[in-house]
Amino acid sequence: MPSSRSNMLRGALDLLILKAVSHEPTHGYGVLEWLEKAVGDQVLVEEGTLYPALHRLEEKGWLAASWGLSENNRRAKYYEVTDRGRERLAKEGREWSDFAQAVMGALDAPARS
Amino acid sequence: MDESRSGPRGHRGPKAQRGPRPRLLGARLPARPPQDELDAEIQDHLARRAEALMAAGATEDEARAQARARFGDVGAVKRQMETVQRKRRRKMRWKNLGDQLGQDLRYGIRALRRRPGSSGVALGMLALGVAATAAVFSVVNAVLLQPLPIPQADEVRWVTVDEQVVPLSPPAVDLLRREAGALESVGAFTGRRGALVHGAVPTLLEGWAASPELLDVVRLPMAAGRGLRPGDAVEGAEPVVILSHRVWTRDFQGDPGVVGRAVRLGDADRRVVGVLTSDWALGRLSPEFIVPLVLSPQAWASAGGNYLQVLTRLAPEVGGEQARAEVVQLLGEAGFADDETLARAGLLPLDDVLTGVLRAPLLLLLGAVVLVLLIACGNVANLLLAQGAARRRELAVRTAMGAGRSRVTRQLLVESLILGVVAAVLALPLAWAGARVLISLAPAGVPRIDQAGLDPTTFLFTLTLGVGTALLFGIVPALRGGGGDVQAVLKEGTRTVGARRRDWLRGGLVAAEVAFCLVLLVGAGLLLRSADALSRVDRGFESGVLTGSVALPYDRYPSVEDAVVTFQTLEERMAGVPGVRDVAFTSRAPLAGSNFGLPIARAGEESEVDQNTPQARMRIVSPDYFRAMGIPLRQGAGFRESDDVVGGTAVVVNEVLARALGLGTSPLGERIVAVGSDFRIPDSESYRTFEIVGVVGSTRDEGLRADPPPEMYFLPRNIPESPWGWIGRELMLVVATGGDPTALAPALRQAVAEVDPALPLHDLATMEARVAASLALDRMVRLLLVTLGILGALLAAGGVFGVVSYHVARRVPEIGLRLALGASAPGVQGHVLARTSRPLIVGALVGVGLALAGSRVLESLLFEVSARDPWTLGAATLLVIGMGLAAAWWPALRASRVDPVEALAAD
Repeated sequence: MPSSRSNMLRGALDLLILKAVSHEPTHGYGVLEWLEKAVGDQVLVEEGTLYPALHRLEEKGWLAASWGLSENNRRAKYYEVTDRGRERLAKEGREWSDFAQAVMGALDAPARS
Repeated sequence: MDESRSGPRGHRGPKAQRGPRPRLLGARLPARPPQDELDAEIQDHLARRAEALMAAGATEDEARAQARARFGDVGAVKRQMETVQRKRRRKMRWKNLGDQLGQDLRYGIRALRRRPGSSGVALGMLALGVAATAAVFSVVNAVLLQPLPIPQADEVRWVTVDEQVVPLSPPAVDLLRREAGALESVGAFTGRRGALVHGAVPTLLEGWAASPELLDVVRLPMAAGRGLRPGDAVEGAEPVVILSHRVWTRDFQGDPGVVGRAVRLGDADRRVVGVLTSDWALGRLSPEFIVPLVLSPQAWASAGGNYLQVLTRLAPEVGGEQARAEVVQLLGEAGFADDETLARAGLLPLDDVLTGVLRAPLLLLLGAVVLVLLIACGNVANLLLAQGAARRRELAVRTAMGAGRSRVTRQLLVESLILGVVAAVLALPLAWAGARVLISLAPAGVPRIDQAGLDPTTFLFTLTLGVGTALLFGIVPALRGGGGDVQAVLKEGTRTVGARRRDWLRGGLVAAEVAFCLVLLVGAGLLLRSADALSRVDRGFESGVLTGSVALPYDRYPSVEDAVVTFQTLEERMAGVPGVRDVAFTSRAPLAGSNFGLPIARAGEESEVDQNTPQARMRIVSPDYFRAMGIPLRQGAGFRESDDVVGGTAVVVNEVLARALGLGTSPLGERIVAVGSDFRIPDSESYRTFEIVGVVGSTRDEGLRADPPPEMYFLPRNIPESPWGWIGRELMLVVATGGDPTALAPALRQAVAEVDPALPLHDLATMEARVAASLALDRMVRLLLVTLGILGALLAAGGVFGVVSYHVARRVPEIGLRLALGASAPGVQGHVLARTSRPLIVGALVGVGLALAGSRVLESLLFEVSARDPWTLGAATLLVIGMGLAAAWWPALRASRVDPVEALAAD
């Protein structure tokens, strides 16, 4: 993935994680799979950086976590979005959209007259 | 949600959990996240990645290695996750604590309300104690602690001897002004009175004639207009005046347009050039007006008479000691004072002089009220202890049910905190009221006392004191309540022979209260004895005599003769008022302000005048003065009407002066001189001689404490004209009456008005009233200390009563047993009283020790009584022990009336 995109990604990571989890409760690896499908391969330079972000979102109350057993009887931590998280997702999403439009508008604008 | 709480895993490294979980004031801390949770999540991820890679064709080893590589630094990730977890735990911990404190608060309020009587008493005592302390503190703060409004006030110095302000003569002032490099500016002033004619009734104002430098020394801004200029103080300059803020607002409605206008003040019309700010209201530094001090060059050079008060400002960077040394040197070299006096001379800072005499009494009062507060707190502590003991079952149950000891202790502390906060809030309005009471009791002229009240400092002080004392005295009861053997308490019956060991604390509190109470009573007793001694002092005059001032304006009474004739007319008029026995006039009555004074020597010995020569107060009096004033004539015939002629030489001296002059047993006929330029025979080196025609008894002049000063009395026409310049045209009328003096006041005013309707009769007061005014500070301190003593005694008695009652109540079974086994009822009563007497005696001994240790504080306030007076100490000791036993009498009686059958059956 080009470095410029991974830089831009960092700012939107929280938002994307919320989106990823909002479809159905999933574990960290599942979020990663969704991200790769949605944004591109090797979206995160270091996959591990996902986990501090997940914990942060949990601490802020936007994600709720629970422990369960995976298919091979491994302990796995599952995350789901809380109501507050959904609100946050909607709000942040709108802000990003406005931001992107503004940037697009600025790039398309004619030179200063 | 199931976050498993695993136990300690020793092999996971240094951060693993070991041992029991720590507690923060009883709050259980959540467990640290076991390492295996973070590991499990990471392992799960790595496993899934490895599976995905293997599904795509990699070998197991390759897959694992790649998964790890793509994951990144596991250690770093774990650390980041831990940081987030730590933050989360911390937030939860605070929320937990907050919840618990909220719970404790609700529980505490409920607990206090469940015992309204006991809580109410504790609250009341605490609120009263805090309020009283805060009231005294607000006065101490306003008068002593708040910085003076004058910039760099510690650089402003008075010239003093023995820490009393002493006036200097004009040439001495001039010398200091010219030569003292350590003094940046030297200002001088002397008192002046003048009738301000503005509106219907003229008002007599007390102000200053001051040199222009004085305003530089004080350096306060003007409210309007300007200060004094050097040109104002030159002979022949236009007469100007500066008004005080109070006069400006009262008589001129604060109109700034008054500057530039002419007003009639005393002898002349003067143009108002400025107005002082309201900061010029600091005790002796509160002139109602300021006029320039205009002295002729001869007057500036004339060493006759020390009448200028000197206020100086130190030069920058100069220390007080250095300035003092220079002043002493200058004055000594020029011969203005002898070495002995100079050794006692000083340059005292402004606020020392303004409030120095108030420091001891105010701090004494603060100490006394703190003692009362401590006694009240002792009672509160005892109440809390008793409550804790009564609630021990409830508290034990709570401890056993999981609250834990430290949590219970914390809850009890929160109860104390609530008590303290409510008491402090209740104390605020009480403190304000108390401050107003203190202001009303205070003598006149206490600087800034009217500012005492609920200012921010006092507000903060009250809250801190209330909460602080409640917490301080609640700690031990809280610790006791939270501690204790839970199992034992739960197993015991409803009435048991309780722990004996707790009695030492209650006994100790009682002993402390008794000690403080004794100190208060000793103080009150000493002041009472001192007041008694003062009341027996021989004043030298009749106290029922009425005196009042009349000031004659210069323009209508230009010559001395006019003034004297007018006063004689006033005398005759007043003598005609029914009920008046004798009338006379004098330049100044005793205790009514300072007189001028000069060194007195025997005729022919003028050249030997040195610093040992007695300085006598000089009064101008009418012939009947001594009779009217009730001053006994000891020797000679005194003044006769015929002596009062220009050039007459008759004088009367008092006994002190006669003794000081060494005139022996018959001073009559001796010739003496007043060594001052006013009394110099023109164009000669010698002074006018006077002959002593009488010796009178000595009178107190500056208050009852100071010894009577030497005095010399003149008839009005016998002295030269220039000393009249010292008193203007104002004299005081002395009226001795048959019955109630004050009832004659309207008739006397009428008599004055008949002579000249524009003349006001001012400051009409009996000598008794003047004496009382001079003792006002003593009276205030005495009244307050006696009140505090009584309050302290009541509180301490209440404390003894409470503790003994409690003690008896807990021992009912034991008492019943004793009675059943044959003890007599009076024996039981005596036993209780005997046990009570132990802390009483200990407390009394400690109290005596404290009183002796602190005796020095009281010394400056006492008169003819030693601060260690054994009679007072003994009486207070007996009083305190007696009071304690009296307080214990009723509970002891109840103990003796216990029905043994009932007592033993009810367990």
